[in-house]
Amino acid sequence: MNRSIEILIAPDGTLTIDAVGFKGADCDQATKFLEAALGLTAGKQRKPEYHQSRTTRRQQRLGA
Amino acid sequence: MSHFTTIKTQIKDIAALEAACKELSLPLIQNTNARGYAGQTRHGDFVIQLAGPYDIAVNKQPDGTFGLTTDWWQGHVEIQVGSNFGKLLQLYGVHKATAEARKKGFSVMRQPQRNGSIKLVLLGGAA
Repeated sequence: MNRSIEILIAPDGTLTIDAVGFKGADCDQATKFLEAALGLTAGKQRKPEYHQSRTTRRQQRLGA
Repeated sequence: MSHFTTIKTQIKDIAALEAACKELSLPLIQNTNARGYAGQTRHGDFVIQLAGPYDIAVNKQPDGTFGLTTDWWQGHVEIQVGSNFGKLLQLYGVHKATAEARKKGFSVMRQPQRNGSIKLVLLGGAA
């Protein structure tokens, strides 16, 4: 999959950085330099791909 | 009666600010006074000179970022740089992000969006 970083800059100057096509925590690594330079401290939203780096097994116990 | 209002921004890079001002055709002058309401002036490490009666003073803050200060009276400033400096901050962000991305070896494409946003697409780059 092709990787790219998309930055959307709104008319009020707020920035949204989107790492496209990255898996796992690579997306954080890739955009870190931009966040540091622009001074962003806003929260992050994880996309489904972020969780794809490893499979996890979870067992749930339901009921009393 | 109006007065100077300081709006805190995350401006850290004067070169990027200069590029943004250039794109808006606004001179950025170093170490001078910004014009304000009723003949008041405020000194700026830098001043963005606007076409109207008021300028924007740019001053270094204790935290190292630059703050923008101006007089919003009667919309003179807003019409040139957007409300709350929106247009200026947007172009600052565009130029700063582009410069940092290029340093890392990315190619940068600028795509204006219909809603007034600007999208930058970064391709390539070192891992």
